[in-house]
Amino acid sequence: MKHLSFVIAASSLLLLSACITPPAKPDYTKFFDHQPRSILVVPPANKTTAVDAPAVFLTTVSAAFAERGYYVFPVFLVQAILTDLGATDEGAIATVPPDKFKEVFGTDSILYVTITDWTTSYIVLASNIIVGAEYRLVDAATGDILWTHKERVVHNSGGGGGGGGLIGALVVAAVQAAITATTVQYRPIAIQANEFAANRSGYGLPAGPYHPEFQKDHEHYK
Amino acid sequence: MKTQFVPSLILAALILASIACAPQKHFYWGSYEDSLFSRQQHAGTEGEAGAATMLNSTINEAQSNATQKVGPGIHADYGYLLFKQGRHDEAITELQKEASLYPESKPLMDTMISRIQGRKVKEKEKKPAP
Repeated sequence: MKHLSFVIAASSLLLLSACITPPAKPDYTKFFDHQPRSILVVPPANKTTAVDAPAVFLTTVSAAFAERGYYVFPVFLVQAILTDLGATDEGAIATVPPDKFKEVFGTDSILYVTITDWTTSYIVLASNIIVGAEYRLVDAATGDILWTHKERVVHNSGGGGGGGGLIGALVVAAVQAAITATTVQYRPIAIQANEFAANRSGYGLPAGPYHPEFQKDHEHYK
Repeated sequence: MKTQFVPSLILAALILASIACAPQKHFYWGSYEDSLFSRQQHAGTEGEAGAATMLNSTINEAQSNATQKVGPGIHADYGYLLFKQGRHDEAITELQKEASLYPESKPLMDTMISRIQGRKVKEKEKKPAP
C-alpha cells in the first residue's frame, strides 16, 4: 500500500512533466563567439491592441536580465536618449543599425522585444491574463543574432469564490468581466515572462560576467 | 489515512520544489522597477520627483546590504533624474558612481558627464557678474 501511494505520486509527477513538449533548443555558437557583458533593452515593439503595453513592459525587463549576470542599461535613460536622436517609435528604432547603438551607448548587445500577447480571457468564472513576448538579442558590433526566444505566460486569476449559488456566481462573473485586467495586474505577469525567458536552462541566457556560473554553464547551452 | 498521505506528499514535494527553484538575487533592486512604473504612470516633474525619492532610498538601502551591490543602472537613472531637476553636481556624482561600479557603462556616463559640465559652463556665462 505504501508503495502504491508512492507509485501514484511519482506517476502523477511524470504525467505533469510529460505534458510539456520542449521546443528545439537554440544554437548558442554565435552567443559564445560574441559573449556580451552588457545589454541595451530598446523600447518594445507591439503586436497587440493594448496601447500602454510597451511602456509597462519596459519597466519589467531590467532585473530579470541583469540577474543573469549582465549590465543592463537604465531603460528610461536609454529611451530618452533615443527620443533625442529621433528614434521615437518601434519603426524608427528597428531601422537604427546595431553598430550605432554601440557608438552611442557603448553596449555589447541589443535586446529587441516584440509583445505578442497582452490580453485577458474569461471562461465562466475564471479569468486568464496572458502576456507573451518574442526576444531577439543582437550583437551590436556585427548585427549577428545571438539569441532568440518566445515566452507566453497564462496566469489564471481564479474565480474569487463568489459562493451563494447561481445568482452569486453570475454577479461575480459580471463584475470580473467589467474589470478587464488593469495594468497593475499585467505587470507581475510580464515580470514573470521576462524571468522565465532569461532563466530557462538550455533556452534562456547563459550566465554573464556578474553571475557566479559565468563560463561554467556552457554544457547547458549548446 | 494512507490515501490522505498522498496529497500531502505531493504538496510537500511542490513546496520543496518551489523553495529550491526560488532564485537568489545577485543585485539589490529595492524599488528600481517600481520607480520606473511610477514614472510611466505619472509623467512629468511630479512623477520624476517621486521616482528620485524611491531611487535615493534604494541606493541607501543597498549601502547597508553586505551581500548585494546596487543593481546596474540605478545610480545612472538617479543621476539622470537629478540632472533633470537641475542638480548638476549631484547628478555627476551619481553617474561617476555608476561608471566605477559598472565599467560597461563608462562610455555613456563619460558622455553624459561632459554634456552636463558643458551645460554648467553655459549657465555660468548667462548669469550676470556679481
